Amino acid sequence: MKIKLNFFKRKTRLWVEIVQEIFEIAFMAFVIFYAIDYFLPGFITNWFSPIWLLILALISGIIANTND
Amino acid sequence: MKRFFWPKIISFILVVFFIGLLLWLVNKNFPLSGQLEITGQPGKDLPMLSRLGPDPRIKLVKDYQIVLDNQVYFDLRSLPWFEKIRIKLIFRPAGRKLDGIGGQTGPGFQYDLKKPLLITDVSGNWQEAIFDFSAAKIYQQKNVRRFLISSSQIDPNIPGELIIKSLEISLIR
Repeated sequence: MKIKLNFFKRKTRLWVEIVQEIFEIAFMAFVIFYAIDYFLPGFITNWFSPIWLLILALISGIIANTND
Repeated sequence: MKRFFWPKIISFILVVFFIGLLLWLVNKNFPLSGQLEITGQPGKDLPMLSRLGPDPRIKLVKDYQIVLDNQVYFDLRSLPWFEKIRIKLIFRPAGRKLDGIGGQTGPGFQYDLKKPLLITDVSGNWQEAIFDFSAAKIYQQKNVRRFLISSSQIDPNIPGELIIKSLEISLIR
Protein backbone atom coordinates (compact mmCIF):
# COMPACT_ATOMS: atom_id res chain seq x y z
CA MET A 1 0.00 0.00 0.00
CA LYS A 2 1.32 3.36 -1.00
CA ILE A 3 0.81 6.22 1.42
CA LYS A 4 0.51 9.56 -0.31
CA LEU A 5 1.45 12.61 1.66
CA ASN A 6 0.36 15.88 0.20
CA PHE A 7 0.71 18.53 2.85
CA PHE A 8 1.83 21.23 0.45
CA LYS A 9 -1.28 20.99 -1.74
CA ARG A 10 -3.56 21.13 1.28
CA LYS A 11 -1.83 24.26 2.53
CA THR A 12 -2.07 25.87 -0.91
CA ARG A 13 -5.84 25.32 -1.07
CA LEU A 14 -6.27 26.76 2.42
CA TRP A 15 -4.27 29.82 1.36
CA VAL A 16 -6.39 30.27 -1.78
CA GLU A 17 -9.60 30.08 0.23
CA ILE A 18 -8.30 32.65 2.73
CA VAL A 19 -7.35 34.98 -0.11
CA GLN A 20 -10.79 34.51 -1.71
CA GLU A 21 -12.47 35.51 1.55
CA ILE A 22 -10.20 38.58 1.83
CA PHE A 23 -11.07 39.50 -1.77
CA GLU A 24 -14.82 39.26 -1.22
CA ILE A 25 -14.88 41.22 2.01
CA ALA A 26 -12.37 43.90 0.95
CA PHE A 27 -14.27 44.47 -2.30
CA MET A 28 -17.64 44.66 -0.54
CA ALA A 29 -16.22 47.07 2.04
CA PHE A 30 -14.77 49.20 -0.78
CA VAL A 31 -18.16 49.37 -2.55
CA ILE A 32 -20.00 50.26 0.67
CA PHE A 33 -17.45 52.93 1.69
CA TYR A 34 -17.35 54.36 -1.83
CA ALA A 35 -21.17 54.58 -1.93
CA ILE A 36 -21.29 56.34 1.46
CA ASP A 37 -18.64 58.81 0.33
CA TYR A 38 -20.45 59.43 -2.96
CA PHE A 39 -23.56 60.63 -1.13
CA LEU A 40 -21.70 62.30 1.75
CA PRO A 41 -18.38 63.47 0.30
CA GLY A 42 -15.74 63.49 2.97
CA PHE A 43 -17.46 61.09 5.38
CA ILE A 44 -14.90 58.39 4.59
CA THR A 45 -12.21 60.18 2.56
CA ASN A 46 -11.61 62.83 5.23
CA TRP A 47 -10.18 60.05 7.39
CA PHE A 48 -8.77 57.44 5.03
CA SER A 49 -8.84 56.53 1.37
CA PRO A 50 -11.02 53.52 0.45
CA ILE A 51 -8.80 52.96 -2.59
CA TRP A 52 -6.54 50.87 -0.30
CA LEU A 53 -9.39 48.40 0.07
CA LEU A 54 -9.67 48.18 -3.72
CA ILE A 55 -5.91 47.58 -3.99
CA LEU A 56 -6.17 44.85 -1.30
CA ALA A 57 -9.14 43.31 -3.17
CA LEU A 58 -7.26 43.42 -6.49
CA ILE A 59 -4.11 41.82 -5.09
CA SER A 60 -6.05 39.08 -3.30
CA GLY A 61 -8.25 38.56 -6.37
CA ILE A 62 -5.21 38.12 -8.61
CA ILE A 63 -3.57 35.69 -6.15
CA ALA A 64 -6.81 33.70 -5.82
CA ASN A 65 -7.26 33.46 -9.59
CA THR A 66 -3.69 32.54 -10.45
CA ASN A 67 -3.62 29.77 -7.79
CA ASP A 68 -7.14 28.46 -8.34
CA MET B 1 -14.03 20.53 -2.62
CA LYS B 2 -13.10 20.39 1.02
CA ARG B 3 -13.99 23.50 3.02
CA PHE B 4 -11.55 24.72 5.61
CA PHE B 5 -12.32 26.21 8.98
CA TRP B 6 -9.75 29.05 8.95
CA PRO B 7 -11.10 31.08 6.01
CA LYS B 8 -14.44 31.45 7.83
CA ILE B 9 -12.66 32.67 10.99
CA ILE B 10 -10.62 35.19 8.96
CA SER B 11 -13.74 36.30 7.13
CA PHE B 12 -15.53 36.84 10.46
CA ILE B 13 -12.57 38.84 11.83
CA LEU B 14 -12.53 41.03 8.70
CA VAL B 15 -16.29 41.68 8.86
CA VAL B 16 -16.00 42.66 12.54
CA PHE B 17 -13.01 44.88 11.67
CA PHE B 18 -14.90 46.72 8.91
CA ILE B 19 -18.02 47.18 11.07
CA GLY B 20 -15.72 48.60 13.77
CA LEU B 21 -14.10 50.88 11.20
CA LEU B 22 -17.52 52.15 10.09
CA LEU B 23 -18.54 52.81 13.71
CA TRP B 24 -15.24 54.65 14.29
CA LEU B 25 -15.96 56.82 11.23
CA VAL B 26 -19.49 57.60 12.48
CA ASN B 27 -18.01 58.57 15.85
CA LYS B 28 -15.42 60.81 14.13
CA ASN B 29 -17.98 62.54 11.90
CA PHE B 30 -20.62 62.97 14.62
CA PRO B 31 -18.46 63.95 17.57
CA LEU B 32 -20.19 63.71 20.94
CA SER B 33 -18.96 67.16 21.92
CA GLY B 34 -20.61 68.55 18.79
CA GLN B 35 -17.30 70.02 17.73
CA LEU B 36 -14.64 68.77 15.36
CA GLU B 37 -11.15 70.25 15.58
CA ILE B 38 -8.83 70.45 12.59
CA THR B 39 -5.27 71.73 12.91
CA GLY B 40 -3.46 72.81 9.78
CA GLN B 41 0.03 71.57 9.06
CA PRO B 42 2.40 74.09 7.44
CA GLY B 43 2.92 73.35 3.76
CA LYS B 44 0.85 70.18 3.82
CA ASP B 45 -2.51 69.45 2.26
CA LEU B 46 -4.76 67.57 4.67
CA PRO B 47 -7.97 65.85 3.53
CA MET B 48 -10.06 68.47 5.37
CA LEU B 49 -7.83 71.50 5.20
CA SER B 50 -5.51 72.61 2.44
CA ARG B 51 -2.21 74.42 2.89
CA LEU B 52 -2.05 78.17 2.41
CA GLY B 53 -1.58 79.31 -1.16
CA PRO B 54 -0.70 80.46 -3.74
CA ASP B 55 2.90 79.35 -3.28
CA PRO B 56 4.68 82.58 -4.39
CA ARG B 57 2.97 84.48 -1.56
CA ILE B 58 3.98 82.01 1.13
CA LYS B 59 7.36 81.11 2.55
CA LEU B 60 7.91 78.20 4.89
CA VAL B 61 10.50 78.69 7.61
CA LYS B 62 10.77 75.89 10.18
CA ASP B 63 7.17 75.31 11.26
CA TYR B 64 5.99 78.79 10.42
CA GLN B 65 4.17 79.96 7.33
CA ILE B 66 5.19 83.45 6.35
CA VAL B 67 2.79 85.56 4.32
CA LEU B 68 4.75 87.76 1.91
CA ASP B 69 1.95 89.35 -0.09
CA ASN B 70 -1.71 90.15 0.32
CA GLN B 71 -4.42 87.54 0.06
CA VAL B 72 -3.58 83.98 0.71
CA TYR B 73 -6.18 81.28 0.52
CA PHE B 74 -7.06 77.95 2.07
CA ASP B 75 -9.80 75.42 1.40
CA LEU B 76 -11.93 73.67 3.97
CA ARG B 77 -13.71 70.40 3.24
CA SER B 78 -16.47 69.82 5.74
CA LEU B 79 -19.64 67.84 6.15
CA PRO B 80 -23.12 69.42 5.85
CA TRP B 81 -24.23 69.06 9.47
CA PHE B 82 -21.57 71.43 10.77
CA GLU B 83 -23.27 74.84 10.84
CA LYS B 84 -20.64 77.05 12.37
CA ILE B 85 -16.98 77.42 11.47
CA ARG B 86 -14.61 78.92 14.05
CA ILE B 87 -11.13 79.84 12.84
CA LYS B 88 -8.32 80.40 15.31
CA LEU B 89 -5.17 81.96 13.90
CA ILE B 90 -1.96 82.45 15.88
CA PHE B 91 0.23 85.00 14.14
CA ARG B 92 2.91 87.64 14.60
CA PRO B 93 2.95 90.84 12.56
CA ALA B 94 6.47 91.50 11.22
CA GLY B 95 5.87 94.55 9.06
CA ARG B 96 2.52 93.24 7.94
CA LYS B 97 -0.74 93.33 9.86
CA LEU B 98 -3.73 91.03 9.71
CA ASP B 99 -6.81 92.71 8.22
CA GLY B 100 -9.17 89.80 8.51
CA ILE B 101 -10.37 86.53 7.11
CA GLY B 102 -13.03 86.28 4.44
CA GLY B 103 -15.25 83.43 3.38
CA GLN B 104 -16.11 83.10 -0.31
CA THR B 105 -19.71 84.16 -0.87
CA GLY B 106 -20.07 83.41 -4.59
CA PRO B 107 -18.22 82.12 -7.61
CA GLY B 108 -15.08 84.07 -8.55
CA PHE B 109 -13.61 86.76 -6.35
CA GLN B 110 -16.46 87.39 -3.91
CA TYR B 111 -15.40 87.37 -0.30
CA ASP B 112 -16.99 88.69 2.84
CA LEU B 113 -14.02 89.95 4.83
CA LYS B 114 -14.50 89.76 8.57
CA LYS B 115 -12.59 91.41 11.37
CA PRO B 116 -11.59 89.10 14.21
CA LEU B 117 -14.11 88.66 17.01
CA LEU B 118 -11.32 88.68 19.49
CA ILE B 119 -7.56 89.28 19.42
CA THR B 120 -5.52 88.25 22.43
CA ASP B 121 -1.81 88.43 23.10
CA VAL B 122 -0.13 85.13 23.75
CA SER B 123 3.45 84.49 24.86
CA GLY B 124 6.40 85.33 22.61
CA ASN B 125 4.81 88.33 20.87
CA TRP B 126 2.27 86.07 19.21
CA GLN B 127 -1.35 87.10 18.81
CA GLU B 128 -4.40 84.91 18.63
CA ALA B 129 -7.34 85.95 16.49
CA ILE B 130 -10.72 84.22 16.48
CA PHE B 131 -13.22 84.40 13.63
CA ASP B 132 -16.71 82.93 13.42
CA PHE B 133 -18.50 82.07 10.19
CA SER B 134 -21.88 80.61 9.45
CA ALA B 135 -21.36 77.67 7.09
CA ALA B 136 -24.65 78.36 5.28
CA LYS B 137 -23.47 81.82 4.19
CA ILE B 138 -20.29 80.58 2.55
CA TYR B 139 -20.36 79.47 -1.06
CA GLN B 140 -19.29 75.90 -1.58
CA GLN B 141 -18.35 73.81 -4.56
CA LYS B 142 -19.29 70.23 -3.72
CA ASN B 143 -18.25 70.36 -0.06
CA VAL B 144 -15.25 72.69 -0.35
CA ARG B 145 -15.35 76.21 1.05
CA ARG B 146 -12.62 78.75 0.32
CA PHE B 147 -11.33 81.38 2.72
CA LEU B 148 -8.85 84.18 2.26
CA ILE B 149 -6.51 85.73 4.77
CA SER B 150 -6.07 89.41 4.10
CA SER B 151 -3.08 91.36 5.35
CA SER B 152 -1.52 94.75 4.60
CA GLN B 153 1.88 96.34 5.01
CA ILE B 154 2.30 98.47 8.10
CA ASP B 155 4.78 100.76 6.34
CA PRO B 156 4.05 100.95 2.58
CA ASN B 157 7.75 101.48 1.77
CA ILE B 158 9.12 98.53 3.69
CA PRO B 159 8.05 95.02 2.60
CA GLY B 160 6.77 93.19 5.63
CA GLU B 161 5.79 89.69 6.62
CA LEU B 162 2.99 88.11 8.58
CA ILE B 163 4.19 85.04 10.41
CA ILE B 164 1.53 82.39 10.95
CA LYS B 165 2.23 79.90 13.70
CA SER B 166 -0.96 77.90 13.59
CA LEU B 167 -4.32 77.69 11.94
CA GLU B 168 -6.99 75.77 13.82
CA ILE B 169 -10.53 75.25 12.71
CA SER B 170 -13.44 74.09 14.82
CA LEU B 171 -16.50 72.81 13.05
CA ILE B 172 -19.50 73.18 15.33
CA ARG B 173 -22.87 71.47 14.90
